[in-house]
Amino acid sequence: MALEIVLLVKRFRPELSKEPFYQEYQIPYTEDMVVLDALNYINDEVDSTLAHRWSCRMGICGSCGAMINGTPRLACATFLRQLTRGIVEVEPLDHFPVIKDLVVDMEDFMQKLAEVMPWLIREKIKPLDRGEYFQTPGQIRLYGQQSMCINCLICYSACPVYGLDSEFLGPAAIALAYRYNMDSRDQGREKRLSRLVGKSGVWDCTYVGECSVVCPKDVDPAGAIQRLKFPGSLHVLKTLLPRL
Amino acid sequence: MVPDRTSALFWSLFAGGAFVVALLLPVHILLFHFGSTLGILEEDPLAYDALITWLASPLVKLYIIILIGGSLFHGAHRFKYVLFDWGMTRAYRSVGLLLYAIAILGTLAALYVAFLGP
Amino acid sequence: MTEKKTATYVQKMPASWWLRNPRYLAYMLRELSSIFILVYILTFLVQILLLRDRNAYDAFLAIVESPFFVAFTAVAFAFAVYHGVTWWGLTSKVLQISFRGKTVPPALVLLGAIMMWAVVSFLVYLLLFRGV
Repeated sequence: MALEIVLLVKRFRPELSKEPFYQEYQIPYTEDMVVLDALNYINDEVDSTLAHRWSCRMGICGSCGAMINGTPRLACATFLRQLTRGIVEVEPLDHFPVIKDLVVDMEDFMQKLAEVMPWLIREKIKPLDRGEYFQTPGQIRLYGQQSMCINCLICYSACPVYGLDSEFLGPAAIALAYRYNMDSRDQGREKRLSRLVGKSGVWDCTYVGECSVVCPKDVDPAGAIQRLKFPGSLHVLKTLLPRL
Repeated sequence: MVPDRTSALFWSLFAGGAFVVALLLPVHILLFHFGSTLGILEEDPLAYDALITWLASPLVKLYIIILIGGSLFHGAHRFKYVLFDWGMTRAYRSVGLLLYAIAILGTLAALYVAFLGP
Repeated sequence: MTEKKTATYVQKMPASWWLRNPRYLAYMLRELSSIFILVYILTFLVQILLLRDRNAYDAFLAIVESPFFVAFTAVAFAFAVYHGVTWWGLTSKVLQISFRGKTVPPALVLLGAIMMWAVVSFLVYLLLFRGV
């Protein structure tokens, strides 16, 4: 007899109802299936009205984040066999407005991402013919971990501070600010710090630490935020001193 | 963007205070309240005369200023965020200012005891 | 073309969010330590302020040494230790101490912090309380 598995999916269909509801799907199960395979099977074979985002299937694009049995995870990187409960519960990422089913509105994050200027800032840009900016492996190591971020928003779903007050800049955006601030080629440190020490910046983080636990790329946003608080307070101190 | 100076200042005091609390408060409570019961200290350090003598030492004066000030700024800031975690996502700022005021007054009181005597 | 505003469903976080997993609960306990630390230190402050009046002090001491308050103090002690353990744990992860171009592993930093904690605790006993 072929094995089967039950998925309980939280659905929201604004064209039908203002309230979300749960729908059960019983589908064939194989040991090598990830949650994304199950969702794609439902969409292809059972119910084409189910909406979910996905692209690469290999933990690079960061589109398939969802609450899986209550924990935010990438659907493509979560094997069904790893989940102990009989029924697999799939819900849209916590703390974000839901557009339809598992599809959430990322607009807020996109705006915050731009605010921390996650790109190399140079006072004077070196012309191309003068060659590249060199870095030693040691210099890369200072920000390598934080550069792994794929903007999947799983950390935002794990962050109670963001859940309570969506004004908070949030884990991924601040971790990316840290990534560029630690880059030896960058000269925009003070510019980014001036955003981070402002309203809803690093001071709102209470180091719950869950963002770093759930991050599928081991970025450690929690650690990055704490490491910015000390330079952040020095930056604030500098704004109090008279300009010489 | 306008820097959030209040948060920066009180975070710094919180972090310094957290270090002080972690380092000194456990041994402080242990010795003061359970030291004589457990037989580590010969007499009760909380007895009136014992405490008066204890407070006369300059090292003790420095110790109580650091311990009381550190604990107050640490506790005030952290409790402010407990209120936030409990859902008081607007009121926690104004209640926080009240908590900081208590920390400042308490630290001044500790300085008073240390330098001008109880 | 004007963008059509789509209907969205906003997810609200329940006030009991910190009961959702053991890590959130451990975090909440760490944060709640602040209440015990605040109440304890304010009591201690009042106690030394009352030293100016022997009768008032002795009356207050009777409260401090009552079974109820001793039980509170024991709980405050436990929370102070819990704060200590979590603080050294988090600090050792956040501080990235380099030695000869390599980052010292957080576990080693934590071990150093715990040893410093023990030494300082003993020094407090030796320098501040031994003379009592």
